[in-house]
Amino acid sequence: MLKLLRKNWFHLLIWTLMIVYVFIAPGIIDQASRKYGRPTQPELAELKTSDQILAHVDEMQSVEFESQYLETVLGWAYAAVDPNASTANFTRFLILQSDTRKYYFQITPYSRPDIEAGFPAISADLTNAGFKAMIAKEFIRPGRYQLGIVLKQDNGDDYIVWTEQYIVRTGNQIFFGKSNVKK
Amino acid sequence: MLRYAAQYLISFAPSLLAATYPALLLYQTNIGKLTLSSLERVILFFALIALIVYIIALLVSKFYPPRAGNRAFIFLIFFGTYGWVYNLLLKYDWFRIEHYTLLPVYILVALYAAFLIAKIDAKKFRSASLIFVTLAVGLSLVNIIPAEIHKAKSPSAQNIVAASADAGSASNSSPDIYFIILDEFSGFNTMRSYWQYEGVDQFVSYLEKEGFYVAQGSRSNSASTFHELAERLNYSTYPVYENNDVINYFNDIYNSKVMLYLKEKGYTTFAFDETHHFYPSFEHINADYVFDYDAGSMASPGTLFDDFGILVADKTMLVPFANYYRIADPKWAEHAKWISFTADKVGNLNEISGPKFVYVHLLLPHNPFMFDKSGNPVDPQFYFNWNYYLGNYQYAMTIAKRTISNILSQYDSTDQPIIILQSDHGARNLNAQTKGAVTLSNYPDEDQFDIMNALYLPGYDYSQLTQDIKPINTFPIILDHYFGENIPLQ
Repeated sequence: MLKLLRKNWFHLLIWTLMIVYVFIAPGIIDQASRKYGRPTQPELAELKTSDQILAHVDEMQSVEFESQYLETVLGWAYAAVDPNASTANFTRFLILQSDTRKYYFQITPYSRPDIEAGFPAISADLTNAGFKAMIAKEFIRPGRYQLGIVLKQDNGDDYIVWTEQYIVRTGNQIFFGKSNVKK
Repeated sequence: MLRYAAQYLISFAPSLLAATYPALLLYQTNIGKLTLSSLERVILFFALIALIVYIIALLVSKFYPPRAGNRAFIFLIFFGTYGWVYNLLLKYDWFRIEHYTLLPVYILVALYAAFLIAKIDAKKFRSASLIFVTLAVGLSLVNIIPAEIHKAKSPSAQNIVAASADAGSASNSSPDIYFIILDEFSGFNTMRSYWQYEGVDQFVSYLEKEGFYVAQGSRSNSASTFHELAERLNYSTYPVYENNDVINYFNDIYNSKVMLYLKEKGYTTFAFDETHHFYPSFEHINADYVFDYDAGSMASPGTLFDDFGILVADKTMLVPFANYYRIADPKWAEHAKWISFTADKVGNLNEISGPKFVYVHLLLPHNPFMFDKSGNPVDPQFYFNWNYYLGNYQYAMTIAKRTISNILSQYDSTDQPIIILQSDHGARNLNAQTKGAVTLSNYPDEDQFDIMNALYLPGYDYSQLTQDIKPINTFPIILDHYFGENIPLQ
């Protein structure tokens, strides 16, 4: 055995290096090259739920942003727990949750006049109810993730609302589903 | 000396054939859509690669031709199959696949295989590989050569472009007829239900306001462009061939019943058709005047490959470097110019007097999904991403409006044209099997048959029409009403 190893040490070394490279290269390259769409880890209080909070994810689009392939998740979310509040009082995060994993992504608010017009009974300011989150799929492990929105309030009350939409991540793909939620 | 040269050549032969075989195989599979000029360029390129690999193999084999030939042969088999393996692994999706990990592993395996092959009797292996690869190439050629002879006997485009100015027996009261096909333009119901896009309601309102009858329940018989064109232009049913073997429809589209009938009636026929753009072997429709951009632009001198070359290269170890040979192909610029040109020119054919039949086939909103809703180009990496279909669709609506507006502006109220605005099939959500290709999730299969079908029929009682008009009945409806024919509807 030792003789065999000694005779073929060069080939064994080559193949060992190759196997190590195959396993560690993706992680290193992702960390080094993917600047956008990384998950974040917000500090959250105990998450409450409320029927005064609504959210919906409209779509997910593949885009290129500054030479990086990303998935952009578009939707809207508002909390009317306080009639005088505005969406600006909340910091919102997109949450992807499977049975074993959880990822948070920062969102960028944007104006959705259609939401304000669609919920005339809500007195809270819904001007910027729209949100856009960028996701680099390489940071998400394979699995089926339900999509939700976490609303972090300045006064410390944090809320969560689940949508009916989900994402399925496989080894190489990411799919957005609009219904038939099976968490 | 001659003996040495023969040794070198015989040893090179398996490598040469192995390198060019993938191109022959893919050419054979797509023979109905391609011309020999595409094949020549690719064969030359891969023959050059084979030569380089063989020379390197000679260097490491101390110029012993049989061993060098075997090593080159083995390496080239790996070279030519990398893209297949990559796509297969992506398809099965068992684990994450990246070129930067798969390619080094594949090259390492190829090198080991190339060196281990030296343990086998070099001359025997050379003979076996030569027989094997010659048989494979021979089988391809057996399929290619008869098909090429058949293509050569088909009508030549040169016979078509010449204008026949002898069409003058038509009555001046015969209405001009515009048959406009927007390829892959989804039906309005699908746009509302799947895309949740209400903008189509404005488009429908526009069409109805202009005087169109919009059949919103109209469905195609198939999801094949050529099948649909053959059926509509000949008002006959056709089988849908397996493997989308479109060449079977070419002759009946080239010389359709509708065109022949109208020519007999003294119509001058026009074709605005960029089908050639995707199917170089498709001859133009047999019209008196054919508008097309130069098919030679398919592979401009500035690009290494045309579409076929890209298809072949994508199956090889070249695919990780696809960005260098495939982006920003100049032909897409031609496509963009063509769409704009057609929208304007279709409504400006007054230089020809007498009744006209104008056939327009635009590959819009068909991929490449290169336009946003305003007609501005999007990043080429998204040309085959179905999430960009909507932008292309919105632009297609703009083009359709512009075309209709241009046409109608040429006529007064007493001399109105017939306009047929249709799609061949709906959005099919087909995977383009290319880099950056993205399909839609949960897209209903049945929506690929939901089509646009809008008819502008002056003097026709629209109450006789139903919402689910079969597109195959389009010309029977027109010929029966305006020409007194009695073609039964299906």
